[in-house]
Amino acid sequence: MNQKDWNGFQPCPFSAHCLRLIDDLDSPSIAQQFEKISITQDIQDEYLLAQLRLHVPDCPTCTAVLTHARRVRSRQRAALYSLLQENESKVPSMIPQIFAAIYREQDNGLPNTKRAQYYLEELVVSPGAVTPHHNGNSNHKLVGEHQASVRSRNILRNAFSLATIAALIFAAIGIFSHVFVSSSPAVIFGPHLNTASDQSAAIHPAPLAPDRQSFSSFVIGLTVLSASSAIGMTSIYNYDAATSKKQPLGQPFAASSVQLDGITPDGQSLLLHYVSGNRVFYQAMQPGTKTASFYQLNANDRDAGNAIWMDDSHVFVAGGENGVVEVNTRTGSPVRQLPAPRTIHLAFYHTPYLYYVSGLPIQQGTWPALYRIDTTNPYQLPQRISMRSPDSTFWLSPDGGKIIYLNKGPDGKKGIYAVNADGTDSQLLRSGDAIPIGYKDNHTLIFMQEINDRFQVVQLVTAPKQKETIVMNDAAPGATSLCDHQVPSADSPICDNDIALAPLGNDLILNAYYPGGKHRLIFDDLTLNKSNILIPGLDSHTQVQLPGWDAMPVPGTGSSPTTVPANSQSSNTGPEASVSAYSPMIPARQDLCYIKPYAD
Amino acid sequence: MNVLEDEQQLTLAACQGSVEAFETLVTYYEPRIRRMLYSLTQDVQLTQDLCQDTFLAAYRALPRMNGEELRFAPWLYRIALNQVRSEWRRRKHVTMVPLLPPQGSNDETFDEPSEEYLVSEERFEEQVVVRDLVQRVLTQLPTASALCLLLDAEGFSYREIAETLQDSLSAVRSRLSRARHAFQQIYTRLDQEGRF
Repeated sequence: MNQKDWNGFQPCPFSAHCLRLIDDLDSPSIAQQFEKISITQDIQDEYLLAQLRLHVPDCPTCTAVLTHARRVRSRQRAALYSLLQENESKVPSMIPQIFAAIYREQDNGLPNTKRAQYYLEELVVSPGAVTPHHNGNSNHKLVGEHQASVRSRNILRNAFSLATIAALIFAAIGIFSHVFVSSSPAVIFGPHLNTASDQSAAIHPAPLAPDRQSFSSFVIGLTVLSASSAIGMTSIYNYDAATSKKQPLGQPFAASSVQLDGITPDGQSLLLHYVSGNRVFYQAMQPGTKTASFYQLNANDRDAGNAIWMDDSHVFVAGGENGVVEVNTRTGSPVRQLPAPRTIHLAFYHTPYLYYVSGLPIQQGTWPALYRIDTTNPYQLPQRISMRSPDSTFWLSPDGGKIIYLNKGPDGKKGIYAVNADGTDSQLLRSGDAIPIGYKDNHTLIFMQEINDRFQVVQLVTAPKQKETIVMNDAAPGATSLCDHQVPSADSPICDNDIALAPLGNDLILNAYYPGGKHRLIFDDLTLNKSNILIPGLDSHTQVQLPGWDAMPVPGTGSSPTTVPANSQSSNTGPEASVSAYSPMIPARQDLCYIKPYAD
Repeated sequence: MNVLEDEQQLTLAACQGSVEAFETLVTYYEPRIRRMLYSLTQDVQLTQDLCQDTFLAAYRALPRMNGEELRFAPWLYRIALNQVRSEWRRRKHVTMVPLLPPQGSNDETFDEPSEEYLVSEERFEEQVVVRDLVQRVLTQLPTASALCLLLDAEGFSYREIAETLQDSLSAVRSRLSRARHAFQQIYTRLDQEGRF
């Protein structure tokens, strides 16, 4: 209590207590507040409150203090409640999404007993919640339920083991393979879907996975930049890895901001887009075939973004503020418009989810992260999949179950993370600067790291036990960098967009930079541990893009498209297939890899 | 807090697996949880994520709860706040998170409340409707103090606040009293700064 008068009243030793216990003094149900007294201080407060009730009516100071305090409290509450109401209006309701999530859990067969296994101890009940001295809260029956949970897990584990053994037996006698493929809708790229109702029909055909060995060639884009304008001359070649023979894909063309977006699931087409005039043109190219752009957007509206393959004849185009449009590459017709997401960078598609990076640009204070949206229900809110991480490339595993990326953001340690494709179970696989460059198989990741000026290729097996093996000790002997330093935000000597790992993880193409500014295209045979220079002496005016490995034939090499299954129209399918298995994930990068004009 | 009619029965039914009962609870509490989360995060996307996660976590945990004793509102808010804390832990290297206490500040930073803080009431009365100023005040308060004030504004009783924050009644009384005092101090300071 201060020793001076307040508002003309004499100081009172109880007035500070009045302020602290004002709500109790005003509460008609005060007995309920103390119904479970277990702490000494609460008992003292009860005695003090009884004293104050007797004291206040005869104390003008306390009466005045309480009168003013009530008015202040009332106005604070009103202001805060007003703020809460305004804040409620700023965020769209999540009720439909919550209901949808609950229904999904029900559909996934999660009765109460199983729901309990999702018990999130950290989120729901802190350890203090089960101690009896905390407010007498006895809501949590942890011990018995934990035992029940353990029993339940054991039962499930046993059931799973039996099911696994049964599956192995079936597989061994060869009668299970077709069932397995056709009953795995999550990884099947079925025929194009116009409506959600088509989905069930789409997943019934059981197309075979394309032969990954047929992906024996790769696409290289070479752009010679002009010193005087933003226009560069771009040539695109298909190279055969074994013979180094090449075939041009179309004629060289002059354009700015050329981006090679990716290879079709069947390996037979290249998707690219470029700016010419005030238009952005989207084009699919095949060897020996003249093609023109199949779609265009207005570049001035900043609508145009990248494009990714949905299947072998449909693409998704990021249309900026107009959302995402699905386009038939054969007819050029827009098939459907997804009103959201907007202003994003498309990453990859895995039936029925479209994955994209949102939160661009980081300069505006928003951290980018990987999201996905269900294309059969585009009005659902997107799910965030990754932590917030700028300039990361996201790698979908061949079976579509996991996504790997190098986290560079603020949400966790820097390092390689694996997360389920639905955003659950995020795990740090290894910390550090190593950069994932692709998969060898579902449980084997390939990454690259710089050790003592050498670019090591390392294989990281994630299951059943995590293990690292050096595959190649130096993938680019003598090189100082695997990054085109003309590309902004290249803060590492290794850039994954300058590296293309073959689908089987045995071969590697990389763009290596040497002292003096020259760069070379290197072919590494990871099996034989051997490096070959594919294109020597590229100068700094020439920029390289490596959109990925393909199955397009190169004349005179013996490679043939016949290795691609006959039903390749919907062939990026089966438990071993995914978009990422055939593309080095250039589309999943957040920076757009645009060719920058050369300037001295 | 004003509770939903038949809330205890709905809670019991939800604990026993009734999705309909849980949906009724979601419908009633989702706007409240949403506005609380946004007040703490000032991030629409994050609020949406945390809001959905809160109700999903509640849905998954309900079968483990004793429906006859469970007070749904404090329990649900506790889940929501734990979601926020969890997010803050993940973002601990980021300085942009709202409601982080200023460096070196905690609940004890502010003087014990005395009746002096009531003197500036008239100016407060004039400005009480300025919501962005109120939001700025909140962001400068210690987190627990801001939570106390927001829960109080939502109509929570001391007991409910204590349950939500996992604290004793006495601690809640002191904290709320200090929070009101600190709110007034910061509000007055910011208001004066804004006038010059």
